[in-house]
Amino acid sequence: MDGLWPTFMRRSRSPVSDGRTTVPAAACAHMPVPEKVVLPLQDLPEDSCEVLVTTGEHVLAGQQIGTMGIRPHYLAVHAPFSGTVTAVEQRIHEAGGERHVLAVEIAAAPEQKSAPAVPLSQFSGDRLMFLRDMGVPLDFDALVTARSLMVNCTEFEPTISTRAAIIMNHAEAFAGGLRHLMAATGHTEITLLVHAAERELGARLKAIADRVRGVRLTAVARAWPDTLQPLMSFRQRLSGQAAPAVIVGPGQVFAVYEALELGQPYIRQLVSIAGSAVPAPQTVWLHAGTPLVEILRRAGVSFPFAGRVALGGPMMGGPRYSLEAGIGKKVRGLFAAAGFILPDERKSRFYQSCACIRCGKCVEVCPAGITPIAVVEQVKFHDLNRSLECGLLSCLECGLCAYVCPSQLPLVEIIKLGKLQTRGRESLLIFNIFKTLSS
Amino acid sequence: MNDNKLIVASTPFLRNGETAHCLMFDALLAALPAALCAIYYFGLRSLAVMLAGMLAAAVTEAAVQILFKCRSFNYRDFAFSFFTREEITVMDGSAVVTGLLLAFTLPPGVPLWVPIVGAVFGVVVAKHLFGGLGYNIFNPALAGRAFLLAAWPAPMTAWQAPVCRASGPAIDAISSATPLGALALDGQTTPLVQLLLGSVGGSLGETSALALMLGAAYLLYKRTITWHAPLGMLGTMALLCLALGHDPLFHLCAGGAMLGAFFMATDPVTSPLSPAGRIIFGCGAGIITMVIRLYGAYPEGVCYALLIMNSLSPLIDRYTSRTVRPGEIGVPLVDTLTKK
Repeated sequence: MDGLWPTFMRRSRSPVSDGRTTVPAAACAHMPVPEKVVLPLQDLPEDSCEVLVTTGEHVLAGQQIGTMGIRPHYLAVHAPFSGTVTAVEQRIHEAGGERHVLAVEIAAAPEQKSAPAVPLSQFSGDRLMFLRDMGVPLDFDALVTARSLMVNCTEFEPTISTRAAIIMNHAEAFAGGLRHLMAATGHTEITLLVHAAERELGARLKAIADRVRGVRLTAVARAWPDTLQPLMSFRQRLSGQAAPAVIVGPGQVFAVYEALELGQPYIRQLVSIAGSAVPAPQTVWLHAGTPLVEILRRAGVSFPFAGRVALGGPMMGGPRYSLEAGIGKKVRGLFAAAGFILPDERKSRFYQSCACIRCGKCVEVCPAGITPIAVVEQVKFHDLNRSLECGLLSCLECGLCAYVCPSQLPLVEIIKLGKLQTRGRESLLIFNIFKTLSS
Repeated sequence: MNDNKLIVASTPFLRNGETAHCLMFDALLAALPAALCAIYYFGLRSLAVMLAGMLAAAVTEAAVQILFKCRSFNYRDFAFSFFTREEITVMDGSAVVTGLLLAFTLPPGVPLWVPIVGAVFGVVVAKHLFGGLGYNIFNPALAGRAFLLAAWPAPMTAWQAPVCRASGPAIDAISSATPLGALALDGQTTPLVQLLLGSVGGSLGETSALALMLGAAYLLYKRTITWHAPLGMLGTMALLCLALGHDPLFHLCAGGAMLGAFFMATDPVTSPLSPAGRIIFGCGAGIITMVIRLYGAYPEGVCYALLIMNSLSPLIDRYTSRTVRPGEIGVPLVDTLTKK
């Protein structure tokens, strides 16, 4: 009879509603060099790409091995360590689903050597092109066309803390990255968004905003989900009008600093590993393309126990059924939970989904301002035009409606189904967050 | 190579753990102070009325669901064809809440068959004939009361004065007018202190405004209800009273205004979804209540006001829910920040 006696505590509306700074005190550690990495060169099998290496070739750390896409719309991919190319073949993509994409597998060499850094002064071309060449995963088109530039310093997922870690541990580089980003994109102003409840982070950002010209700090009442940027690019593609803003993350700002100031390509990324199957949740620097299974093993996850793995966090993560793929450039979190399938007769009745009681809690929490249950009803009736009128495509897929739903309805799942039926895969934001080269 | 299988399910993997059952339990808990007040003022007889209502509603709900959910009727296995474990949701507590709220709207001295008939009518006709929990148009408790009032007006209007412990043991029940009845008949107003404490005649649950407000505070704290509909209803009533030259505090505390605003107008199923819709719903209920109280034949109008507004709430939902033009995508989080 689990769920019969309710608690007298008030239920939260969002897993991060009270704000939280779980920032590691010291700088984040680097995960040791893995045996091999798998670097995808495509997001979908039909994407174009260019391979610059062949099987058996020896590569240095930071050496360019190929590009995703072709000029002028491309993103370079670099070897994260020195080693030998062992395969250039079709592999499963970490976010791309069941269809395989071209990937380069590199086995680590015993001693590590870095390729010489290429500073900006030796590069012929503008700064954005240089960032493409350094492989920094930014939304380049939106950076130029959008009317304003925002850095989202709020963290929507309860298990991820990479943004706070970068701002607290690398404040100087972050401030430098903001300057470089303004210089590269031509924006004269950057808005930093911080959760009003996160005082410590807010104070640190205030110091940066006071020091760097053109940087403004805005406290927001709720954490902004990462899917806002894919949604705005989608809207821009659909309507042809310039997006009101482009949103980047502190991790990308930090990568911009490393690329433009130090000439370092994007070969490492900060990732939070958490979940009930992870014995010690941690935020570590990973080599680009480290296979998911390798990351989880080094984090101490034991495999029959971990039954659920998702890229990102528990609210918006992309669930994975295979762990062989390398980690993509935009992934900031890895969520591994103990998973088991409870037989229906052992599940408490109160946690099975029942009819909507129209309590309106989904409307109260929805950051997109739509009525999730109305959209779900129209999708269930196969009335796709009505569901579009109810704001189906405005949904951010943040999961807050399903989080608070007392009837345990799979609201997000049905909304995603409706998106697939109307606009196909391109409207699925969950896929677009992890897509490396945004189109 | 990893051989074991992984579960692939849609996000979110977290839930805040609230269930429909929790909301119903909260409503019961919030009704507890008013129920205790009723027992204190009207004796154990009122407990019997409340228990009869709750029990009848729960039994009816279970029976109706067993009858409705019988998928493969087979006269040879007569008993077994009704024996289905799934879909009997009487344990979610919604029927018990219906029974209790129905009992709250009855006079203390009613015969025990009255709450039973009302609960059966409410659960069968107002709730399950419309599709069960989540699909009913009218609040089952209010529909039951309206049915009882239309069918058996005599026991439904036999009001008692509260049993005062100090006034002597011999007298069992003194008939007395409700504050609103006294106002309509003789123009008497009852002192506010009596209305707040509940030592006045009236329905079981609606006598003590303080007890109801205590329960409402709990519901508001737990976010089981929102403030929109009660504020709309009570605010409109107060404004109308001021405009028409009546005492607003008397009208808010007398009769079923508090009970209706905090326990009936906030019924999730029969009120609109959006906050704006709930405010409109509350305002409409307040206006109709005051019109019936001041100009109608009945001294009290909360029940009919809420039933009328219940029938309008799908329409309110249609006009207050946000619609977008096809091809338009709204991003309110960003738009509010960039428009400044």
